[in-house]
Amino acid sequence: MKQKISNLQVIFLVANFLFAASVISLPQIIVQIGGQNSWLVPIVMFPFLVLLIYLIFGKKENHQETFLRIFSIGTGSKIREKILLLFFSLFAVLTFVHDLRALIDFIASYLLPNTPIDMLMVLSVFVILYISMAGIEVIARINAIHFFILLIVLTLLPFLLLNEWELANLQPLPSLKAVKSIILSVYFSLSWMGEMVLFIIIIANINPLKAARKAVITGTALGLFLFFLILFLAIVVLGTKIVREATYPSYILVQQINLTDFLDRLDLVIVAVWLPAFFSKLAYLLFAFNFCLSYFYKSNTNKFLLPVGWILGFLSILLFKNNMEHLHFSFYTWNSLGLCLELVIVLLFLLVRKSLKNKDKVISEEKHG
Amino acid sequence: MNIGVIVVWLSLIIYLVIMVKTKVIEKKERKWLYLLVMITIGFSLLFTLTIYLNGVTTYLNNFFGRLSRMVVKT
Repeated sequence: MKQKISNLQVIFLVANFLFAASVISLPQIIVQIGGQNSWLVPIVMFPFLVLLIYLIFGKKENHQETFLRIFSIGTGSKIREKILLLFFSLFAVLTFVHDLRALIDFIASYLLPNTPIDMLMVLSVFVILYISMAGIEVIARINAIHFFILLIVLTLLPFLLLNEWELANLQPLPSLKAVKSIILSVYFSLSWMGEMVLFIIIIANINPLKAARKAVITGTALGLFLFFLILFLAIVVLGTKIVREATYPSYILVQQINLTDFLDRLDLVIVAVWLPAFFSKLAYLLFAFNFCLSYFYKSNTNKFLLPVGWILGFLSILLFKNNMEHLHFSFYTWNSLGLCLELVIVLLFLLVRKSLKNKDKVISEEKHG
Repeated sequence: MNIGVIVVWLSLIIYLVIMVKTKVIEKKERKWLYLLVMITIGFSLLFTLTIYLNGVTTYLNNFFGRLSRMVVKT
């Protein structure tokens, strides 16, 4: 039986794709380019992403039947679909590898500095495997629970940091001169935010499919809102100089919460809420990659998930010699590479959708005439 | 040998025993199983010998990274 996920779960999944990984170190490069006006980046980016969603779903609602047939193993199996899945699996692998490495480096830097990096990878992959093996329904459920808690905590963040606000950090205010730097910042973060195209693989699992477009747009808005919140607070509380030079500005931001003398380590609580949401995203990526592989060996199975998980885990360590190499990849390489892959995926998806629709049209014409 | 690699190898042995004994894996699927296990062992050996595959990353950094830096310079 096909696993189904609700539209609310889709909202949280898409918001998680946008927020969970980008919050780690993306604010640094955005602020480096955009300066004190970088808080405008998520707002400018929203129309681009909505356009992309409209492109994927199409204006009319008569694509629903086609969506249900895309990626169903055994039906069609055309060369176009295989190429699309090949690019999708490459995208999923690269996203998984650099996200997992970001998580491992963050934990090794701040939380468990004495634990070997391989052990951190092993423990993380065990958790990811455990979630991923249960399928998309469980991933969506776990994600919804943890992301909802994260949402509450992050919405409270402006109030928790109220005593640290320095509005002067926002000056000078945006002017026409800032447009270029903001556009450049948008370019640098588009590939991270474009990771929401990952929902394409589960498009047939959404129930009801009719409201899926609205759910994806809501999820995008939610993810961007949370990212805006972090970016705005980082600039207001820390100032551009610190955000520019810190490796993990968001963590330094939550370290500033200082309500009373005994409540000064709330950062650990917030990290403990964010980590499960991040694991859900990684579990989804592993699920998506396994789904692509299943298409190639023509049986929907997770028999091979364990070795696949280990391979990706080791790749996350072997591909980057150190933290600096990973950061360089994330800041300068991933924005161009990710953007190229996302564009190719969307274009191939549109091509597959169109060919399936044409095929349906020919069949119905043959039946009636 | 690193503790992480030992854990991975132990888990692989248990996984292989379960897969083969319970006959979950069909004969035609065995090639996939062995291929994936061999790749995992290969990667774990590379990690133990500290041989990194960062040549791939360096190539990507040079090609796509240059593109991004060109965008910033404009």
